[in-house]
Parts: sequence; C-alpha cells; structure tokens
Amino acid sequence: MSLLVVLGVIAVAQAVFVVLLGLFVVARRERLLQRGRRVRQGRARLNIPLARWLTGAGSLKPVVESLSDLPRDAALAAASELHDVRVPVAQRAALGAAMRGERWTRWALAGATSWRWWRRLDAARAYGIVGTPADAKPLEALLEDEHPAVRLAATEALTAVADPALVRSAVAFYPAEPLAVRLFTSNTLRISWRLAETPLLEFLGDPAAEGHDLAAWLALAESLHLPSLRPTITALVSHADPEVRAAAVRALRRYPHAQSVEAVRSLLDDPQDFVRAASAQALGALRAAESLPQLERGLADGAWWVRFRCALSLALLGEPGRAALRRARQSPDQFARDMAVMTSGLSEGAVLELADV
Amino acid sequence: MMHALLQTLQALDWAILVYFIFLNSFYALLLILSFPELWTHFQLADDEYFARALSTDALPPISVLVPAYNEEVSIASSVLSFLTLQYPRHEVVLVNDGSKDGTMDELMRAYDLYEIPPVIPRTIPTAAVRAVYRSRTHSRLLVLDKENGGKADSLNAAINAARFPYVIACDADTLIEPDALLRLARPFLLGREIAAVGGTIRVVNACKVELGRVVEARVDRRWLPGCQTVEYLRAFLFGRLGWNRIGGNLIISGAFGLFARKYLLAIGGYQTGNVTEDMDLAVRLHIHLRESGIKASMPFIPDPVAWTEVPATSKILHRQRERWHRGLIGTMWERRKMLFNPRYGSVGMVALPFFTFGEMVAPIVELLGYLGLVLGLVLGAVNVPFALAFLAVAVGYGILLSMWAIVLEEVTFRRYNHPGDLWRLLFFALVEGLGYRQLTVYYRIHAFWKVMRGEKGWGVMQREGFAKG
Repeated sequence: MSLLVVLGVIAVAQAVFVVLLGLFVVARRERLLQRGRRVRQGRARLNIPLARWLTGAGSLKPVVESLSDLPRDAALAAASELHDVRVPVAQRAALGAAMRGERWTRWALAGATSWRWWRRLDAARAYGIVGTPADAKPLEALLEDEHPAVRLAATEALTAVADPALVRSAVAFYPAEPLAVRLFTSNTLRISWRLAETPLLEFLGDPAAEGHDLAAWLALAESLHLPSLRPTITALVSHADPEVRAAAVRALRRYPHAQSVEAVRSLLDDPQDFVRAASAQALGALRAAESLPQLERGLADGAWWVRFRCALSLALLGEPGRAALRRARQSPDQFARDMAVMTSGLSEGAVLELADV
Repeated sequence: MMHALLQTLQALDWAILVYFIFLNSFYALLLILSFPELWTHFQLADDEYFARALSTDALPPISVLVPAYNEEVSIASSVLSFLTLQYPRHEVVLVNDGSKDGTMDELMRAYDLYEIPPVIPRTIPTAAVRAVYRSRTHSRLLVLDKENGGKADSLNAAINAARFPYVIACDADTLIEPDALLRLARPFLLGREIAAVGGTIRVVNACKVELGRVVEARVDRRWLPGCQTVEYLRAFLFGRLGWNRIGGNLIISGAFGLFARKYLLAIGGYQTGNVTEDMDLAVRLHIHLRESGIKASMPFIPDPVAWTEVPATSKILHRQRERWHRGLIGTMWERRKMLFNPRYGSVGMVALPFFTFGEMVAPIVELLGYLGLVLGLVLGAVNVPFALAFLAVAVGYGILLSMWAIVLEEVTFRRYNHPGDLWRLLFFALVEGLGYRQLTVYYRIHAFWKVMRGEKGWGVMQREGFAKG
C-alpha cells in the first residue's frame, strides 16, 4: 500500500470521525434536554406527597414512588437533598427505612466495592440516607477509602449508623484527614457528640500524642464546644509545642469562662508571634475587657499580625477599646501609631469581618 | 542545480511529515491523558458534599491581586465583582499602576477610601508606592497607589501587601465567575500540597454581562472571536488537563491563577522584563520546587472559569499573538539549560522540549511546508494528489482535535446552552484550520523577526467592552 493510499484512508477516517463526533454532540444535547425535563417534572411531583407526609397528612409511600420514577442518579441526588435539607432529623430514619429496598438504593449500595471511586461515592451517599447500625462493616471500608471525596461522604453516614467503634476511629484518624473530610467529620460529630466525647477526651489527654495531632483534635474540640472538654483544653495552653498552644487558645474562643480568659491572657506574652496573635484574637472573641491594658501594650509588638489582632480586639471591646486606639494614635511608638490609624477608621461591621471571630 | 533543489525539497517534505507525525502524536497523547482528568474533575465539580465543604471556612484565606492601569470606566464594577466573589475569606488588593486617567479618583469615590500608613514589607522590590488606602465601606479592600511599573511590577507590589497565604492574580478586566475561587480551592480540600492552581479562561466577547458577571454565555458570530472560542476550549479542556498527568503544566494563566504566596516570595515574584510573565513565573516555580526538593504540585482545574475579552480584529490579534510568541521564545531561550535535563523531571524532559520544538518552532516548520509546497508546484516537483491528501490529513487532524474539545465541553460543563451556539462551535471547529490558523502562523513568525531585532514592547490591547445583559 503506497503512502498516498495510507494518507487517503486516514483523511477519510478522520472525516467520518468528525461527522460522528458532530452527530454525537448534537444527539447528546437533545437527550440531555429531554432528561432534564423528565427530572424537573419528577422532582416537582415529589413536593406534594412530601409536604403531606411531613405534615402527617399522608404516608411515605407516594414520596418513595415519586423518587423511584426518577433516573437512578437523579433519585439519589433528590433523596440526598430531601434527607439533608428538607426532612427534619426526627423523620430521617423513617425516610431511610422506606427507601432501603428501592431499585435505585440497591444500585447505589452495590457500588460500595466498585473499582470506580464515583460509584463508591454514590454508595457512601446512599449509606448516609438509608444506613442502619447493621451497615457498620461496609461503612468502615468507605471511611478508609483511598479517595477523600468518598471518605467525606461516608462521614455523613456516621450519624445514621451510630456505631461507637466507627466514631472512635473517625476521631482517631481526624488529624490525618484533609480539611474537607475534617469539616464533615466535625459537622457529623456535632450530632453524634455523645459518641465522640469520650474518645476526644482520651486523645486530648494523651501525654504521648504528637503536637500536630493534638492541634487537630483541639480544632475538633473547638467545633464541638462540649463543656466537659474545657478543663482539658485549658491545660493544653501550657503545652511545650507552640502549635498546640495556638490551637488551644483558638479553641478557648468557643468556651467563654473566667478560666478560659485567664489562660488565653497568659499567652499574650508567648515567645512565638503566631501564638500571641491567636491569643489577641481570642481575647477579642471572648470580649475580655480585663485584658485591655495588655492588648494596648500589644499594639507595639514587634510582629505585624500581633499588632493587627490586638488593634481589632480593642475595637471589639467597645468604647473603652476605641478610646485606647485613639490614645495610641498619639503614641510615640510608630508601630502602635500606624496600626491605630489603620484600624480606627474601620466601621463596626468591618472590624467584625476582619477580626474573624 | 535543479537536481539538488529537488532533493532538498524532497528531504524537506519528509522532515515535515516526520515532524507532523511526532507533534500530532503528542497532541493525541495529551487528549487521551485529559479524559481521566476531566472525568475526575467533572465528578468532583458535581459532588454536592464538596460543594457544601467549599462554602465553609475549611478553605484557606485568599488575597485577590488586581493590577489596574487606566481603568476609570470599569474599575468600580470590576472591584465590586471581586469583592462579592463567593468565598468564605478573601481580600482584594488593588494596585493602581500610575494610571493617567481618573482610576484613583473613581476608587476613592466608589469605596470611600482613607489613607493608612504604608506599613507594607518590600520583600520584592517594586516601583515606589505613593500611598496605601483602606475602604470605610468594604473592609476587605486594600488599594495601593504606585508609580507606573507595568503589570508584573504591580503584581509584585500586591504580593508584598497581601495578608493571606494564597494569592490569585487577575486582570482588572477579567470576569471571574462567582464560585470560581471555591472551585479553584478544591485541591486544598483534597489535602494536596499546592504551589499553584490554574483555572479555565473563556471568551466573553458575545456573552451577556451584568454588573461584572456573565449572565448568558454565548459564542460570537464573528470569525476571529468565534475561532478563538474553539481555540480556548481546545487549549484548556484537553491541552492543560493532559499536562496535569505528565506533571509539567507550564502555564498558569496570568488572568486567572492561584499561587502559594510563600513560593512567589521565594522566587522573587514576577519578572518585570518578560512580556509573558505567566509562563515565565510557572517555569521559575517549577525550578524552585525541583531545586528545593519541595513536593508541591501545580495542577490545572477545568471548572473554575474566568471570562476574558479576546481580540476581535486582526490588528489586535496580531499584537497579542506576536507578543505571546515572543514571550515563549524568550522563556525557552532563557531556560535552555533545562532542556532534556533529568534534574528537572518531566518539566525538563517533556514539557520544555515540547514547548521548544513543538509550540515555538511549529510556525517556522509550517511556513517551510507552505513555501515548499508552492516551490514544488512551480517546479513541478510535487505529487499533487499526495500534497492534497497530506493537506487533508493535516487540516482534518486539527478539526478532529477541535471537535474533541467540543465533545469534552459538551459531556462535562456545557456552558453554552443556547442551541445556536452549539452549531456555531461546530462551524468554527470546521473552518478554523483554513485561514485563521495560517494567520496566527504569520503572527508568530513575526515574533521571531521582532526577537531578532531586539524589540521588547507589549503593544496596546484595545477592548470593545461587554454586551449588557
């Protein structure tokens, strides 16, 4: 076969391929339009039976039937939205139980062991809706999945499955997780706090724990704000690792108490600037008026972030703090003067926004 | 004499054929590699759990850096669109680069600015900062008024002033989609160590725009912007995604890219003498990461979108493409020691050789091909059916790649919802290879000419403005 024939064959094949791709694009657009209409109509049909069931005027059956009329992936998405947003916590278990045997639920749960991560993601989402304590084993595998998106969705199922061993494991692995998974774990554990309290106390009190891990557990403690955790967090303010000290003062922002203020104030003279900045920020968040002289002194700190946080916290303390900032505008110290000029022009709303408390 | 000329022509034909096969095989490889990348991002972009995580304070705070020069007319709405991006914690650092119009006055008026002490570290040297302002109405806005020093210099001043660990470099006239920052931050949620993240740039020319936001994505009917719409889809949807897998993404767009501030400071920020500062920056970041043994990646993500106006006239397109190619030549020449140097991993072994011998040299090879064809026809040395078949394959391959880009767009993000736009995209994919492509070859050849003459200017990019929604 000559080169000319080869080129000719390639050219013809390319032309056919181009035409096929063009047809595919057009046909797919049309199919998606039709599917979109079907999904919109199906979801609209859900509203009335759902409202009836939620108000006790109807049964769950028509809700489940309406979901089953949708394409499988659309049914899962709609069920997920119902479960997470529209159905009160008290009625979620009934909704999950009613959907457990449905075709699309079985399809989603069957993906738990798939090699495709997005199928495992669907399974994790489904367990979040229809999971029961009997699902602890498959959920454990999904919580340890290699893909963060799957682990993230699986954490949502912790509430439904409510297994103490799984919750303990989720708390134990919390420091190693990416931010998103941590966030979802803490959201879930806020609901399952009874199961999380004991392991968290244990890990925070572990003298052999790594500083990085302790800082992560302190962030979880900040998110859960359980009163039983406060003494343990306060004790960590004197930890040798500055990362832990900073995390402890950040956590204490959510634990307003005289001892919290005392502990946070002690770190305003910490040798590490980021700990002093975190301490200044926490004092503002706690509205600790007794720390005003210290915050005023902090305006002359050598680190910009410490001065900035002190200035914002002073602004948060109301008129006495604002008066301190006005005084600082005449300060012989240029650092204090500049920071006071910069922050005293800010409105109340701007101070709240920048202070990030 | 004639015999030698014919032999030279034949050798040239074969060289071009081999070059064509190598280059297009590499494009095919990029296309294949882009499939799994695109699918992964499509799944994540569609995942409601991620969407919820993206709207919380789990994300790192970001400083949006906006250099502005003579933007009096649009600056107030541009800044507002940056301030109202959907992101839990971000600030906007705007640098007025010695504008000669009323940009600064407009900012003072629109945002009630007040001067603050210029307590900003000059970690990267820049032109003098005349004054620093904060806004009484928008606490997240910081404005630097400085002497004119160019875009790179302004970005450096903004990097110095930024408070947050990640910065995003934008053009004042770039329209960022409200959720684009959230999407750009997705790698952080996945726990990856990131040096930079690139997002997609799309063509805004025919889109309907309201208050700095694209409210309806449309494809321009005109030839030049229409061809560029397809060209941008091809470059972003499979070009850069394919590079993700190879690990040598050499371009994080200057109009829309996220960077870890610490790495920018470590490499001394943007180089002020370079006409394509984005590519130069990405290459220097790669060098820094490699030489310091830092395992941080520079991925490209397809779903965060920023919209930019592309040249609608051949005169402006000429300036832009000539400048881009001049920048490419300059960067490749400056980094020639990295070529095939295993010390720089996939960047030295794959990306730089491709950009040098593929992207940079391609217009010269293409021009030689056209000249050879004409000369061959004149001398009667060309087998006309063979030449036609080769031309059909070459043009057909380009069309095929463009069609794939449209297919990828269609099965994933589908921004162009108007049915007419789909037909327009298909049309421009078919005609782009005839005329538009040759035009850009000429512009890029002109870049070589300017490099040889030592010209370094930017040229003026005139804009038409956006269609109102």
